[in-house]
Amino acid sequence: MTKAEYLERLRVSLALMPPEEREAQLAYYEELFDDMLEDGMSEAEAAAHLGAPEDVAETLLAEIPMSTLVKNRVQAQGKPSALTVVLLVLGAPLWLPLLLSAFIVLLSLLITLWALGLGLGIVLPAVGISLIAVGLGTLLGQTALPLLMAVGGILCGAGVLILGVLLMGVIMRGFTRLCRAIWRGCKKALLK
Amino acid sequence: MLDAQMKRGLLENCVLAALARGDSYGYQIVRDLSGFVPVTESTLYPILRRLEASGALTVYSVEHSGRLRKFYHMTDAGRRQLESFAADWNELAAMYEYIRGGLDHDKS
Repeated sequence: MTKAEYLERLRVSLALMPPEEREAQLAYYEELFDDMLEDGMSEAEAAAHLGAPEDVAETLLAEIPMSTLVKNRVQAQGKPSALTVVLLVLGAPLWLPLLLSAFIVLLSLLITLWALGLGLGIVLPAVGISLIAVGLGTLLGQTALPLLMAVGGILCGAGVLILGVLLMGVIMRGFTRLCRAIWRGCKKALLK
Repeated sequence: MLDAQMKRGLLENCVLAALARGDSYGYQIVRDLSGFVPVTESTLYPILRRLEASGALTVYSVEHSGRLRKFYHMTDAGRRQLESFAADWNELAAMYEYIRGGLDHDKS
């Protein structure tokens, strides 16, 4: 490893340090490197003597209080300005109910869709089954209804039954997908 | 292995003792101490920073073959700290004798 590479790796490993502190330490290590080169070592020997830059960084970071490191990390990620915080807090009576009602509207919409799917899925097969029953009853009981009507009833009933089951399947599947998409969207927005 | 707190205090005073012999720079201090004191370039740096923060030493730069070299100088406060540490050591030495005596007694 060359001196430049070593110092660069050290700089990267010290990213959480306060900048002034990091520069002071890099200057110290650069001076040490130069002194070792002057002492007759090669750059690779000097790097080996000092140890891996990541280990060196760990030793140095251990001396810095955790709170300072966390603060630097938060700042590196872009700290919300004081104005943003004040606006968020002052605006809470406004945005909180709005957010809440939006959430409730979305939730009731989902429940309605679900109920509709479930209702159709139950009603259509029920109609189908009763049509089949009436048709069968007619055939067996030899009631007044003509034969043609009984057979028609059975066929119609079977059709409606199948349609209902299919419709319920489609609606339920769509509902699950929709819920998952909404969940993912919320998570993405939160993580940003 | 020495207790971390105790080792830290000992190392600080060893660094001061090295500077008591004259102003010096990082690499030279490590070389002077090696053989007596378990200190590396990486452990020396935080010690120097602490001593500087507590006012036991000051730092100045000297130009050396086209670059700057940082020299460390022991202040009067640093000298007093070293003296008081050496005085405390008499107390520690007495404790050590007592510990030693206890171990010898246990053996016999």
